Amino acid sequence: MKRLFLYITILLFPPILFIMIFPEEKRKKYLAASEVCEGRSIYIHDRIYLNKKSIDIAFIGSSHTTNAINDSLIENHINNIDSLRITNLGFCRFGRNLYYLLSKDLLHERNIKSLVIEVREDEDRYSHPVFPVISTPQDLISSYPFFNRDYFSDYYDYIKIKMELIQEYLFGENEFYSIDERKFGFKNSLQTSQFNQFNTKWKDVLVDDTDIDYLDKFYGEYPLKYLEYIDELCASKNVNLIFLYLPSFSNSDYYIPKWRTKYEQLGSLLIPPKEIYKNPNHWKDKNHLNDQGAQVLSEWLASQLPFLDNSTI
Amino acid sequence: MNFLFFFAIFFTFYWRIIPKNTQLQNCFICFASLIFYSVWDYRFLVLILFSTTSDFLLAQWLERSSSSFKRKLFLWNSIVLNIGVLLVFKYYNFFIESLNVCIGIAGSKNSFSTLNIILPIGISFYTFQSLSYTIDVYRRKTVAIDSWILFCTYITFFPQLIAGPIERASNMLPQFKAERSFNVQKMINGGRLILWGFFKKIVIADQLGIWVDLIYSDFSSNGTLVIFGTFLFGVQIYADFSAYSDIAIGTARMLAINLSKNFITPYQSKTFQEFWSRWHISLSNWFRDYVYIPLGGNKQSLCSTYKNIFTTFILSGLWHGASFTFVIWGAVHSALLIAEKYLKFKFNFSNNSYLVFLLVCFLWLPFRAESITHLTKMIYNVFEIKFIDFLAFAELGKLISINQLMLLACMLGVFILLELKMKRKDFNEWVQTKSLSLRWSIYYVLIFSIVLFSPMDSKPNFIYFQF
Repeated sequence: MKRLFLYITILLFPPILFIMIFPEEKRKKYLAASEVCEGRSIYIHDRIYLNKKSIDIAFIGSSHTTNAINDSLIENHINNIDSLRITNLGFCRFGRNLYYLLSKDLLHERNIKSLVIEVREDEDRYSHPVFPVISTPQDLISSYPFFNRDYFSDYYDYIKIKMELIQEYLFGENEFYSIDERKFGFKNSLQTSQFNQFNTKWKDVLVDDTDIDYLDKFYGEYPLKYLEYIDELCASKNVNLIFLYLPSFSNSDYYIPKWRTKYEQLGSLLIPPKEIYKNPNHWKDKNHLNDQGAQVLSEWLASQLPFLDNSTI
Repeated sequence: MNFLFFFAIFFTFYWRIIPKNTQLQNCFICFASLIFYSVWDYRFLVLILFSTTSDFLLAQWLERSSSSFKRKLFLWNSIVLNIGVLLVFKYYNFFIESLNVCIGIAGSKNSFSTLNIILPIGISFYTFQSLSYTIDVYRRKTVAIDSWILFCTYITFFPQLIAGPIERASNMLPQFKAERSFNVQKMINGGRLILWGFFKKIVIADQLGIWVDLIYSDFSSNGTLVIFGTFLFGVQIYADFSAYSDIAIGTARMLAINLSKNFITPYQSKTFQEFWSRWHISLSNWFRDYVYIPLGGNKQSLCSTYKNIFTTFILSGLWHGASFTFVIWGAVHSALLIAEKYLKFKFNFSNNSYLVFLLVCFLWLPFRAESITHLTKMIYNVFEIKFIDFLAFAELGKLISINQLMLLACMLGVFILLELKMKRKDFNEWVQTKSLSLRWSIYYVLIFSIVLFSPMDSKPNFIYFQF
């Protein structure tokens, strides 16, 4: 068996090494992820790397962030007081490791004041599906291996994507995808949910942070590690790290994220008034705020300017 | 890629967890094979289990019975059941449509309705394999086995379940009964065949297939391109089907099971008879043993021999698909074989194989055509050629980039060169006679080309899966 394993290793090592070290173009990698989430990956790339407009406060998170943070509205409100540039870099689906990659690219490229990371009732347990698409070999090799269900599948997906990119580079037309010039990343929705706040039963399970058990700690280890990485990144760049609570709809009276203590250890935690989230008219569906909800939340966030921009106070 | 993952997990369990227990290994193969088959469509499991169980029981009764009448009755039961399943799932609509055409010609407005059924994958292969077992038991060439698991393992053995080789019980059952030991050299031999199979499938067959599909759909009105496309299809179908066989044989070898050879570089044949002894060998042998010889073979009059060859080839054509295009393909092949063998017509001018190759390739035209009308139009277009249409080639060339075209041409060159060098050997037998440096250079050329041509977003589909 050992000899066979050795043969397979000798056979596969050079092609895998070739795939790993083949030069990558950042924009192509972001472009490769543009089939999901309505092409937001290329918007995020271009906002970070190509769009000349500066960034002072960036919001990173899932589709909760995309639908909830009206960046242009916040910017208009606060520009009466201060001149700050806000951007919503939310990207669909959950996975802390993607937010870490986005934070890394953002902080490496831009001098920002505050980074706002979305938190919800609980932590995402697994790797983000787009993580292997935009990660570099270094990101992949240094990804946190423990409690990581997707550690090997991320390698597999990375190799698959990289092979596609190599094929495109060698055989493709290399068409240029035009630069996304949008200044803001908010995704508006005029739709209002049909549910009734009095008979909605789902998500009535928010827990208190004293309720964290052994299993929660087990599953929490992996995502929280990435929050620690983001915290280290922010500390090294002298960026203010804020966690913003963006839960799903609930009529529950429990109103705190499960990992509140951890968030407060790493940065500041912003918990909007629960009336914003308890009003069914503010929701597009059970997970996403609609235009009205986003407006209320964004106005409230604008009022938190000293908090968001505490590097200036 | 999914198959490789499946196999890697299976392989580890097979050799590391249950290495010393043959019965347990067989159960594991059987279970994994059924899982493997159900990935396509779990509903077809019922059919394969029905076919397996009925033949298992009929063979047992055949074995126990001493009455000639009863033995014949059990054999016919097996034949009717197996062929019946094939008739319903594969040929029912074909016969009904043909009948409706005949009724229409006769002037009647009545017609029979067809069934809306999907062809279960691999049905022609496992039905023939199962049928060969009961016939062999009837002929007392094989002893009926009393373990259903063992029989099910033989019928459903996943490496060759979908597209052969069609194995005989006399080859497989003793291997499943015997203790298997882990032998690194066997694993390496199997691995080489798998690598060669993947190269042929991904780099040659799939890439040529893009052009062939386009020519047979959008460019079928251009005679020059039809000829070009037919030759490409000749290479594609060989690379595709022999790739599956190599992967199957290699995979089985890694489980210490030897499958029989299915291809021996058939395009190097100098006669048609030789071609049929080197192309899809397991099917040719099946038709020889269970159709041609029972019909009388060449032991009767010359006229009967012609009739037997013709019948065997027509059935072989129909086995490939329920369409008159396959019947034509079989009929013309039988005519060529008769012409060669009995009318002493020489196809091997100056002792080379080019004419056989050219004719075999040209006969892929009815095999690949979608219908008789499509075939007639294409043949008409071929005979209408007045000049070579280079502009059409240029149009076709736009399909892929110049880099890809150059690399593909190189790989096609490597494929043809290696095939010519192999002569009657398979890739494993040939490559192990080479020096270490040449051997590893070939491995890396194959593996890097696989990396560069691997389609990442589509399911691989072998041509013979549809049969």
